[in-house]
Amino acid sequence: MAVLRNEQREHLKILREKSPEAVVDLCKLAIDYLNNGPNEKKYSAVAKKLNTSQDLVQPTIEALVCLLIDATKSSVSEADFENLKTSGFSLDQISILWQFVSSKRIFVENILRATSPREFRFRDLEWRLDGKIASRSLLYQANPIIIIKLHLDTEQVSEHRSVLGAKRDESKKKYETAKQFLLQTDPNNLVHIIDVLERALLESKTHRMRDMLKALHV
Amino acid sequence: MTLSLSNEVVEGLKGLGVEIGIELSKKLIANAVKLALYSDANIPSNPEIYATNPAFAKQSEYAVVTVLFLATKYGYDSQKLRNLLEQHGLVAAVLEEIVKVYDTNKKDLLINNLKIGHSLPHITDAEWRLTCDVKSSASDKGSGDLTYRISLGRYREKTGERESTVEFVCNPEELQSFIGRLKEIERHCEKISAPK
Repeated sequence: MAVLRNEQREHLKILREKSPEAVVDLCKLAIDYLNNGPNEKKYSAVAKKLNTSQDLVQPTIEALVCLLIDATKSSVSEADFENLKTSGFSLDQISILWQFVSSKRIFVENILRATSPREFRFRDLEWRLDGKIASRSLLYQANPIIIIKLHLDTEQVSEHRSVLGAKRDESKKKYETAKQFLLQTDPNNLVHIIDVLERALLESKTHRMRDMLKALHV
Repeated sequence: MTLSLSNEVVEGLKGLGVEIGIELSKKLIANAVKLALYSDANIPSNPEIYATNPAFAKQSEYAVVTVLFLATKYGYDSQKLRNLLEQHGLVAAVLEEIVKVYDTNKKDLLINNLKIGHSLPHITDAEWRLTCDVKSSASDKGSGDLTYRISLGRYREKTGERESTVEFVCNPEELQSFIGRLKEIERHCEKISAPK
C-alpha cells in the first residue's frame, strides 16, 4: 500500500491540487458513499464549491474508498502512510487522509470480514425433558429423553439482542440466515458431551494456545 | 395387554424337536437370536439348519424370533415366558432352550427393541476443532479470533462409523454459553432423578 496504483494516483490528483479543507470535503463525501452509496447531487455541489468538474469528483471519491479498503486490508501504519509524500501529497493532506482511513478502519474491517464465507454459528437452544414411557416395540419403559432445538445463524449478533425476538423484526432475507435443528440425547450422553466441550474450551486458555497466537503474529 | 401367539408361530415352535431334531433345533434357536439382534451381514450362514426341511426350518426360525421379540415387547420375565410356552405343549428341551436364550440375551433384546421406531437424531458425542483467523482473501492480517468447529453426532453401532448430525461454529464465549445451557439441562435432570 506504500505506493499508490497509477490509476489511483491519477484519480487522486485533484486532492493534491486542492486545499486541506477541500480534501476534508472529499473525504466526507467518501464516508457518505460508504454509508449511502453514490449521490450525484452532492458531487455536483462539491464540484461547484471546488470549482471543478463533477466528472472528476466521482472517480476521486471512488479512489478514496479504494485507498481506504487497500489500507485496511494491509493494515497500513501511520508511518507507512506517510510514504504518500512520494506521490506528491503535502503533510497536511496526508494527515487528513490518515484520519479518514483510521476513523473508518473498523467499519471496513467488519465489512471485509462479513464478505468471507459464512458458517452457521451457535445462537441459542431450547430444550425439553421427556420421559419415553411406551412404544410399539416396547410397551413398558421409562427412559428420559432430552429434546434440544438448536438455533444457528450465519449472522453474529450482539449478546444483548434478543435472539428469538430479533428474528420477527428483521427482513425476510435476514430471517433466511437462521436455521434450526431438532435433536435428542439422554442424560448420560449429555454429561459426556458437556465434558468433551468443557475440555475443548479449556484448550483455548492454555499457554500453548497463547504461544501459538503469538507465533502466528495475530 | 396380554401376549397371544398366532397359529403359524405356535406350529413353528411345536415342530422343534419333532420335525427338526433336538440338536438342530438348538442350533436354529441360537441362530434365531442372532437374527433378532444383528443384521444379516453379521451372521454366518448355517446351511445345515435348512438342509432337510427348509420350509419348516424357516417357519420355526420366524416363530422363535417372534416369541423373543414379543416377550421383550411385553416385558416378560423368564417365568412368564415359560408359562406361555407351556400352554402350547412344546418339547421340554426346546422350551428350556428358548427360555435359556431369552434369559441370556434379555438385555440386548431390550436395547434392540428400544431402538426400533422413529425418533429425532440421537446424539451421543461431540467432535471439535479449534482454529484461529490468520489471513484471508479479505484481509492481509487476520483478526486472531479463535473459532471452534463443533460437530454433534453419534457412532453407528454396527459399523462404528461416525455420523454427524449437526455442525456449527462458535467463539470461546459462544461455546461457554452453549455449555452453560447444556449444564442447565443437566441440573434439571439431576433434580428430577434425585430421591424426594
